[in-house]
Amino acid sequence: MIKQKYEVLKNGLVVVLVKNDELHSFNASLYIKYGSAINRFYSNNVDYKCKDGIAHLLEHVLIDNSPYGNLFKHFTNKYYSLRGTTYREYTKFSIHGYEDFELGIEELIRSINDSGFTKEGIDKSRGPVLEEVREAKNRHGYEYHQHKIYSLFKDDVFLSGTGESEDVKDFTYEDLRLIYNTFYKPSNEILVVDGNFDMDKILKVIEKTYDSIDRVYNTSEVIPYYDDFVPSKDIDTYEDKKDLSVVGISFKIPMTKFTIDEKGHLTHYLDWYLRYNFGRRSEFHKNIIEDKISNYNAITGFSYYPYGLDILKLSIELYTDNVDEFVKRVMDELKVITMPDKKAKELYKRKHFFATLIDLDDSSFLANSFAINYIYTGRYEFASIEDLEKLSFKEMEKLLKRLDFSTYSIVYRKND
Amino acid sequence: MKLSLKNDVNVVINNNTKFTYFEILFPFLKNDYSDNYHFEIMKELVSTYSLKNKTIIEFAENNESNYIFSFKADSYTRGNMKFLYFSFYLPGEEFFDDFNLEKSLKVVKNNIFKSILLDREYSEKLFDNIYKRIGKSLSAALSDPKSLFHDMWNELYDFNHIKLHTNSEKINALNSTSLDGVIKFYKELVLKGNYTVLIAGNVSDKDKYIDTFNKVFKRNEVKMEFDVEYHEHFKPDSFGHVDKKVPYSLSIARVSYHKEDYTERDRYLLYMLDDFLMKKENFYLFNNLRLENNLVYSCDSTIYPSFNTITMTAFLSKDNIDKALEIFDNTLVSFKDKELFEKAKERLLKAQSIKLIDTLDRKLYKLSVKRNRLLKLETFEDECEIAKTITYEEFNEFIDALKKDAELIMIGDKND
Repeated sequence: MIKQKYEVLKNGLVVVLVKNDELHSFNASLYIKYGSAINRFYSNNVDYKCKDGIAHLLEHVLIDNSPYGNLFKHFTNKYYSLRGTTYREYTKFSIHGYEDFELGIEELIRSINDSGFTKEGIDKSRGPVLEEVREAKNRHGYEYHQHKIYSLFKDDVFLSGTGESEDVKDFTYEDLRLIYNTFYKPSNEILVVDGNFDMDKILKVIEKTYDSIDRVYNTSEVIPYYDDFVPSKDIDTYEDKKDLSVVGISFKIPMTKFTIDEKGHLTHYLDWYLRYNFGRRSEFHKNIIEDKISNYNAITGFSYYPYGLDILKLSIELYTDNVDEFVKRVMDELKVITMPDKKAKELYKRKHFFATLIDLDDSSFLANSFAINYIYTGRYEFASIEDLEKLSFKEMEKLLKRLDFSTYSIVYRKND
Repeated sequence: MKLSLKNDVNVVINNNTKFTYFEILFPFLKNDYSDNYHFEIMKELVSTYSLKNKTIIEFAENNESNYIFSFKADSYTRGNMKFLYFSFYLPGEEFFDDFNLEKSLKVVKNNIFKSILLDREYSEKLFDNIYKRIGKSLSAALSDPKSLFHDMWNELYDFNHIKLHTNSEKINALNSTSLDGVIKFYKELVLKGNYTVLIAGNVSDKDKYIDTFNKVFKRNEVKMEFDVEYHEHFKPDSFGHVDKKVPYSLSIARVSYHKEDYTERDRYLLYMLDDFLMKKENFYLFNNLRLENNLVYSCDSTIYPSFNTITMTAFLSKDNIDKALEIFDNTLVSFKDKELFEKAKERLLKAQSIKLIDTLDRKLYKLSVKRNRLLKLETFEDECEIAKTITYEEFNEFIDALKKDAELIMIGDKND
């Protein structure tokens, strides 16, 4: 039996509780609405600029320098697991455990919100972070990813998240304190808890813990901003003798004229549209294979960039050297938005219904999807089966046709 | 050990799910590696096309029209045995009015037994595309340092490719692959073979599921009897010290420790040592390399039970290699300390008991236990029972018997 609720506390913290009394464990995730892409912002009439990598370093610093010592060690000693991850728009700290849950939640909150990190502590965290930067740079596809992002945004804030070694070495105590004081505050956080626990008791623990933290928060509004860049349509070509040739088209689609509901619905529609029109089961794929453009299926993806940009990035890639032909075919396909026939519509609805049923059975999904939805839309909503009734193929066609594909960049990684 | 399987349909009821999961399992003795792509290509073709539905979309839509979700072919290897299985999900009967169990199973039966491979002429171009795609992927498989290192290790530690396979071996296997070989594999293994069945999930009436399955699927009268050797043993090619410079900024250092005379208990001692080094509850290697000395972002330990070997690996800067090698040796020797051993063992046993509770929350766990019992594989519970019996004396003797037999250092020569 799953019970769910949310509350916004007087300090601004959003608390999401999803109880499933059939489970034997619990999870808690603290989301901070600050991630690797928020490096330029106005606050209190001051224009701040930080380099890529600072959010990620701060994540490490908070884990390494908690009031309980190294937080990984601390929680592992209690047989919990701990994970910290820096995403583009948010940073997340999660624990999973079985015992002493109230204490675990308290310690998580305190570690992240009441950190007394020092200059020495930061220096200690730098070592592993620099190694992580090294690993990231040597990862398969890293350079290609950088070319794609840079050609679309010409802005380092979206590049890697881990940053450049020189910048990581240069971040000062003052830099990190500024970021910490600006963004790590209850009004900028969401705490989600799921599993088997007493909802009222946990809510009291959360309130009491935040109340006991003696910090002065920066309450000024923070407005992230980005450079407005129109990418060139020239193909960015570079050579790589080790990896397969690949062509990637990335579209920068403005979303300012879409409502929040429309943006949310587009997430479902685009998922279907890209799979059915460019994926393995599409005519596009069939023709690519038959005409020997490639032996692979196209890889598609999209993501939303909310703060200060309000754009949707959509990418379509293919392992091929037939650059011009691939680009032409993609553009031709996008000019005419092909909608599913009656049978495909029925099957889509059925599959989506079944997948949603399974998701709604998962308390962790319910809790975390609430948080992600809130981060991107500002809405307080649990996923439900009724969401499906709000979707329609009529709307799908209208919204897809409103997408503006005129701004894009092309990257070609060439293997001779 | 003799393994004898019956044509049974084994049902595990878990009405706490909204689906029923099916697994149709074909066991066979592992063949020569040169047949590897006959097998892999067969799996792809059987799970994507059929005689009646010759395109990807027709096949997918036919499945979806009959409420068959996530139909796939996969396999796993244990010792001298390989297991091919077809798996899929059907919804619980209460969700769709026109869902018909018998009808869905008939479609699955045609998917498996009336594969596109029965139309040789049509299969030819499909085979050609897959063959070229795999070939291209293999040609670019070593494009990052970790893949390259892994390949080097396999080449050195298992020169005759008994257990560890290299990229060049895969290329050779692909070169010897033919459509006729794929068809032959399909006919012998699937059409003439026999299988056992596992069903788990939302099963309203167990007998109805068994009877309907048996009504739809007719069986060959082939006995499934095997001399299984799940725990084979080979002598590694202990190569001493090898170092190699590569044009990356990431360096990788690995050492292996091998025990010459094998005993049945060695496998459990390796599991225990692996746990002490890198599992959540004990993380001595991670602690020593990263938390205490800041040398790495990531490291790992891997056991090779077939070789009676354990390895430790660090991903780091070239300046820290010597220090890491020292830490590897010191960490291993540290487990000779009785107090440390007792503490680590206690934590392992506690973590195992927690993991057993965790399994109660996993929807298909009961099925995996049933499967392991049928195939006479060890379950996690079995491992836990044996871990309890390991004494300090036995473990100490094991540590003494482990000798460093190989050291591979890949030196990243490129500056950051």
